[in-house]
Amino acid sequence: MVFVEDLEDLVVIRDAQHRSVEVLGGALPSLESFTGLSVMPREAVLSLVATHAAEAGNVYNFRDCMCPSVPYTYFLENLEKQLYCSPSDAQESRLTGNQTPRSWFSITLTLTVLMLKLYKSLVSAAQDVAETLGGDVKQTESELLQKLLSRSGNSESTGQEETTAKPAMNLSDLIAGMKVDHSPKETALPSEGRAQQVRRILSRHGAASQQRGARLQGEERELSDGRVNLFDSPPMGILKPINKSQPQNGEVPVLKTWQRLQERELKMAVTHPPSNIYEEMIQWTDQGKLWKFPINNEQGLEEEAKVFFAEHVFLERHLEGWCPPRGPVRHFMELVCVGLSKNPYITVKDKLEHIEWYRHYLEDKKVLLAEAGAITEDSSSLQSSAQ
Amino acid sequence: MAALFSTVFRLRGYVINNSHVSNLQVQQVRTKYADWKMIRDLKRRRTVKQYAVEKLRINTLRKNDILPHEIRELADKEISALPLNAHLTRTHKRCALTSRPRGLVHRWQLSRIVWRHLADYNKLSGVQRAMW
Repeated sequence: MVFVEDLEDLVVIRDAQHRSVEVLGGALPSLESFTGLSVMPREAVLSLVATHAAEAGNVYNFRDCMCPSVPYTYFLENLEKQLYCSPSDAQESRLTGNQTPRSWFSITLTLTVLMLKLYKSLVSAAQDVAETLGGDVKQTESELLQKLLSRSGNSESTGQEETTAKPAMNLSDLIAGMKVDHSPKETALPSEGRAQQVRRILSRHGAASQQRGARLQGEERELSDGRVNLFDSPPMGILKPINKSQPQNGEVPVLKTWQRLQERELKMAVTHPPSNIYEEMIQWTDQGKLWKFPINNEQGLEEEAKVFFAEHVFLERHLEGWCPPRGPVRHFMELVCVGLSKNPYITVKDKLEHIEWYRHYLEDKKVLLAEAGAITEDSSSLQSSAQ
Repeated sequence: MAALFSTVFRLRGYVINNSHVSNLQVQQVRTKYADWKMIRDLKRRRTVKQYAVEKLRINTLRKNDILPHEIRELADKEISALPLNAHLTRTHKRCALTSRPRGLVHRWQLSRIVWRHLADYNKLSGVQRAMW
């Protein structure tokens, strides 16, 4: 984790862990990392976690919760695993320097859970050791735990010469190196004339705007710098390529939009607006906005005008050949034909499509119809038409 | 917050670096429709139109008393198998400009407010202020 590497005041503790492992023997195989040199930003981690826990509304006393004889490297590694999706991710992010930590709430939760786990394992290990030693089990266990837990205080209070390299960073230490800026604010000199003032302000403004422009350009360059490939994706086809044969003939390529606009302007220059309402109405009639005289109800129905009237009305001839000559099916289809013949809104093609649909439908259901007695054996022309 | 920003920037980098993603519309699309309710209504109207003819034919089978009951029950099942939005009752008239669901002037498919505004500026053919 980056904040481990960045901070200078790293705390080196090797005694407590070392001795605890020696005392416990092989009772904590999972904590083999005890023996290694453990390096951690102890105070930094504590303060960070505590502040963010407080921010998240979960005030834990981490100093109490944290057992000092626990190696911080161990829980830092675990923490890292928890913070990132997987150990490999953590490794990768450590290499690249990209960090996407989860929320501080989850960090604090993870920390508390870890601490509790470690504490439990410590207690169980002490129990195991006491049982192997024999004698007064309870007493040895309590003594062991007391030693383990009290070592923390000793290491903090007495073992300063070997435990701490530097104390935690202090606010006063930080402030000590700073100075208050007493240099006078840059103001217009009274000896400066009005014109000079204006010129100075203008020049400064111009410089600022130039800077801003340069920065914008830089950003654009950054965006386009090897990131966006214009010819990577398939074209949208909104721009047509200019015909390349024309320039070879020595002519200027025709720009269609300009041509169209020029034609439009020419037309506008030539044509005059209608001078009175009659001319305007003539124009509207030409554009198809008004009825033409003589009034014909079927204006604009040129395609339908080609179809003879009888085609619309006499539809029963389309039933011949497949519909049984009598019975409910015939009755129904005749009613359909009557209804269609009275419909002025649809074309003959649509009407024939209706009849065809009923034909297919009834052919599909002919078994059912025969069972219900709607078509008899002798009049089963549905079947014959299907073949 | 920092985590959110870092996620957004990572996503942005990902989108820029991968052309197959950057082809997608990241920016919001503007349509000619006023809101999503209008688009939903339009979708239903299209469904109604798609199934209208078939529905009419099946309904004629259902609602006659000439064909045997078996056929009519079959037609009942077919009607109920159609999509829910194939029925005109699922649509609602809305203003064509503002998508207002109430106070429609039916002939123009506009809400009364839009209609009045257009009429005030003489944009509606044949509409005249009442005088007597």
